[in-house]
Amino acid sequence: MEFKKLSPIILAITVFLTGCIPHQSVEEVSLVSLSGCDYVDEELTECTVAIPHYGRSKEEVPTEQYLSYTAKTMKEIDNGLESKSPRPIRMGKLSVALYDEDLAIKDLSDIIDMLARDPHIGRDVQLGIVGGKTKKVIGTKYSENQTTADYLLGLVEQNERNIFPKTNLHRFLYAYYGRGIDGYLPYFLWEEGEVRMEGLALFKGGKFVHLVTNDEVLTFKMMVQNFNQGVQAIELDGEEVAMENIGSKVKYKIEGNKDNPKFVISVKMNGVISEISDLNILETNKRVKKIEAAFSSFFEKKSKNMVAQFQEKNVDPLGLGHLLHHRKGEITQEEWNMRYPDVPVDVQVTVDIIQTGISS
Amino acid sequence: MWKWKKDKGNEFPKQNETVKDVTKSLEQSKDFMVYPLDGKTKCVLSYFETMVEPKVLNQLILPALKQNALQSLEEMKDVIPVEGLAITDDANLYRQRMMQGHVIIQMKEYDKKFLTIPAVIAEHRKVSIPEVEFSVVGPKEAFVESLDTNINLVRKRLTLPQLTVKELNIGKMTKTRVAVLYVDGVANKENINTVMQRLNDIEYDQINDSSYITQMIADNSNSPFPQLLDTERPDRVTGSLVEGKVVIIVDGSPHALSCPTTIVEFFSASDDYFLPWHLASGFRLIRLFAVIFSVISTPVYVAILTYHHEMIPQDLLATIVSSRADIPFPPILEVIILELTIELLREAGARLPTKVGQTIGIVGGIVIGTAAVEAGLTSNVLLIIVALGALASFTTPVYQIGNTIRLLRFPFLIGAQMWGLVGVSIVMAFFIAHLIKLKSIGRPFFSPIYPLRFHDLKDAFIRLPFNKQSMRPIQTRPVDSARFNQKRANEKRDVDE
Repeated sequence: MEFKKLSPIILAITVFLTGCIPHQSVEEVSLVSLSGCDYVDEELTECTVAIPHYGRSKEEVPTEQYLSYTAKTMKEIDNGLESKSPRPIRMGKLSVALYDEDLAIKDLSDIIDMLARDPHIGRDVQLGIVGGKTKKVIGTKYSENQTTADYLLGLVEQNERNIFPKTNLHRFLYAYYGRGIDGYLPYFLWEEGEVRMEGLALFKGGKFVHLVTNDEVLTFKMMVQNFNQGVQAIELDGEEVAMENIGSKVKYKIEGNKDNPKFVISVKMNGVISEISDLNILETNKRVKKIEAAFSSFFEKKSKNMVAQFQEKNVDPLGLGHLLHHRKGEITQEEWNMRYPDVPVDVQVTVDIIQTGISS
Repeated sequence: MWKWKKDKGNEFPKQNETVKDVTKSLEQSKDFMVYPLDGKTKCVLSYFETMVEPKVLNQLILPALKQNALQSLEEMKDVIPVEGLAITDDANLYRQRMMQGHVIIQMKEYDKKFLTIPAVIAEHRKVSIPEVEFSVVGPKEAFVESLDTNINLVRKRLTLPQLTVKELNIGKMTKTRVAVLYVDGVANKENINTVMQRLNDIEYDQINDSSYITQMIADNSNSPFPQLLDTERPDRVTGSLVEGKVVIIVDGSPHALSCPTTIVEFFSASDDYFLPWHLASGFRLIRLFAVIFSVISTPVYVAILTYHHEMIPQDLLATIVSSRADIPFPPILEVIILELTIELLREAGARLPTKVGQTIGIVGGIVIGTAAVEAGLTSNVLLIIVALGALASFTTPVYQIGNTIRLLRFPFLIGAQMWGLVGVSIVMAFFIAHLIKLKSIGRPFFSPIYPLRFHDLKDAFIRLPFNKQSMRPIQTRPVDSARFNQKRANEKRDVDE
């Protein structure tokens, strides 16, 4: 009965307070599709956003407006950008957020934290590091019938279907906040009006510490997720042999105990020979065993080399500490940081060539 | 303060009337005939010209009276070849019988004792095909306005001695005949008693249609949801009876009411039982989806466009923004304008004669729709959503719940404008709480879902094949809950085995 008496008051309050929520219809706001932050000096950061302006008909490619502002804190930048925009700026439709290399080397923690807290920003925002200035990447029109945001998003998605491992804000935050695991983001390079993916930037916390180059990316992806794309070429007996990956599976094993772990990363890869100078298919079939062995040792060598590099830089993108923590018992980040460089890691790659092509 | 109100209601009918009083009052009507018969038999005939079948009067009653010299009412009773004669001296009955189209014979004018001869004109619409609940397959008979014909339609399908028909008169003025049907030994006594008690308790002057009864005996008469299922299909009524439900048929109404009912029953069409079970289940799911879509689509549009821009898919953004670029209204006004237009069209279509009504559809659909978009009053994205929503609301197989669905989206719209998707959720929570609380003749209305009746789910969202329907719905608490013996049925071999 108490509720019955109170309910009209509650209803009145809620109804009248709704006026306090700011709300604009979608065509009355500026929806940021792209953002980029550049290092200016020790204190200042310059942020650039791209805002698409949609025309009367949906067939037109929206014109993009670029706004830049330089200030110390993100909040100031927000206000500064608003002061340049005719409509309120909303971050809800942000699809790609870029940061320049210098800023990433300094620290991205504050910016990551801001992204993580904003409920309007989706968890599938694509993050990226740019070698050079993000302003240039954002300000270039790459395609006649696509906005820059769509172009960049397409670029990343296309490559992540291929040899790049999947990355987005959600995955990065998981690694960022996770224990014994470090995040990685795609690395872009802008050169004379063209942008391309140049590798993977590995992070220790919020700091960019190591770059996995393009020729290592396939091997890296092989170690972090199951996938079925990508071509790897090696030299065998003086000729080029290229193999297409049609399915690779990765398994992590921990031998030993919590204090003396030994990690075994075993990868099983099924491949198809896609290019070989030898034209005789029968001849190729005889050499399959040899080619398989060559690829196995190639991947093993390469991945062991990469893991050694990671250990040297004390960055753990594979999440070995994370696995240890979950499988063998609690381990703190500090403890792991200390032990990680000396942990033995073995990589075993089994390559299985299933087919050598349809003609001889 | 309200005393005068109470007193007024009791004036009718007058107590302690004599036959003379009644006759005097009836004589004011032009169609009331009273005349003495001179001939072999001397008596006084009185009847309503407009109520009495001339054939009965001229070919059966008058010849009998004229050919025989009869001295008393008892003798007449033996001679007149009509069934249902009665001799009585109850003045109240005099008025009642007269009104029901009986011919009344007295020896002298204003005589207390009289003979009543039923001779009512059996004039009513022929049994025709169902129009509201039309189905392509299955029987094509629908109830008509005559109670006797309707009961006959049910009895024809359910030749069962246990089928019991109880009758009562409701309405102080109309004295409408209301029949309560149930299968004895299947229907729960409690349900029957509840229905009978509620019907007996009705205090009102007129019952023009079964929908009066629905509203009066509903457990919660303030609810927008109908709590008794109305149907014009005799096959649906027999289906309900066999499931242990109680059916109310009102004289003068072509719709029967069945209770207790559940919300899912309002979304199941009779087609669901005529089609193979997987197809029927598929259509039923489509219908349920349509209802949810119809209620939710425009509120979600308002909520997303006003508050949650991030929820618009990237590929749709350009379409929505460019179609809304010229619109001078916020989304909520745009939606309300369009929804009201659709409701206006529907009201206009329902009120106009059929032939004019057809033009309304064309005018509304084509002219107003495209004109509104071209004039920049609404966006074409919304036009599609509203049109689909309206279309989806037409899929409800029971007309009554269709009306509820029509208006249900407006509270959702208000919630969406005020609090965005949170508002939609709040209104949804409110309606779900209301539905959970709701009862139909004392049985939970939201039944197979809450309280969860696992057995009843076999005929809720999907309809399982008949061999799985071995139990009558638990929600109605039937006395005999088994439809057939599952064990014995399983023993019988399939033809193809």
